Amino acid sequence: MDLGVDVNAAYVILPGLGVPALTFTALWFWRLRHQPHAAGQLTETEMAARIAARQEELRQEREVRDEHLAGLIARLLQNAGDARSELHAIGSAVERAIRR
Amino acid sequence: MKASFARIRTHPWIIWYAVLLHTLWACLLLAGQKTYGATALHVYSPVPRTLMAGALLTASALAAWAITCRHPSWQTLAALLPQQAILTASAYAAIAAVVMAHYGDGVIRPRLFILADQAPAILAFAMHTAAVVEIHARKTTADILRATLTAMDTEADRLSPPGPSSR
Repeated sequence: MDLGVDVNAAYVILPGLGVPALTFTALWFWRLRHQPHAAGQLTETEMAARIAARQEELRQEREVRDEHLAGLIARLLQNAGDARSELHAIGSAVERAIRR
Repeated sequence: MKASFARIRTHPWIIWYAVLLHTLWACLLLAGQKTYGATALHVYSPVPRTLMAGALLTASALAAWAITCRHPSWQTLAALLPQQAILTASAYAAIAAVVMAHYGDGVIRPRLFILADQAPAILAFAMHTAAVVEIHARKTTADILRATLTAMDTEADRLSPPGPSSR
């Protein structure tokens, strides 16, 4: 092959084929082989819908948990109030008994 | 969640540049043999003109198809490689001309003169390769959504209250 600059054809063919082959091989092993196949793969819309549904599910779970915890706290406060009233009553009864 | 949605969108102008350049070269080759005098094309001078013009047009069409595809894949990568091969050979010829201090058609010039003149061919090859890698190495929206879904499930599992205990 006459290249005009006395370059052997092999020196042109080698990088001409080698660089694209190297690019393909490197990208294949780095990124493309990890890509799932189109069949059986969720579309972007389906994935976005699934994320939204999961988010809503988690929000509802959190609301139920918050309500449950609020109920527990209210019951504990009620118990504490009752305990204080009973303590006062006992204290008064003890005082009366001492005075007699 | 480390993946960010606000990524810089790649505009593969360099690939469109190569498409237009190779289409122009193909038209010029069909117009006359003298086009082979250009250093970047001189390396292909043993190839018949019409065949070379056909190869240039095919590479351009494949590259145009690849960058108009919505999702990068091994098919789009493979479609960009003929264009890259042509640019590689042209860049190699430009470098060889600089090293040997004369153009493809034999015109002798100082090395720096040829380097200044042939720099676009070398830079086009480098930028094209970078663009091909960038297009195929970046994370797609689907990748980001998949990662988000996985991260949400993992975090929800981690934060979920433990099952009924033995207390």
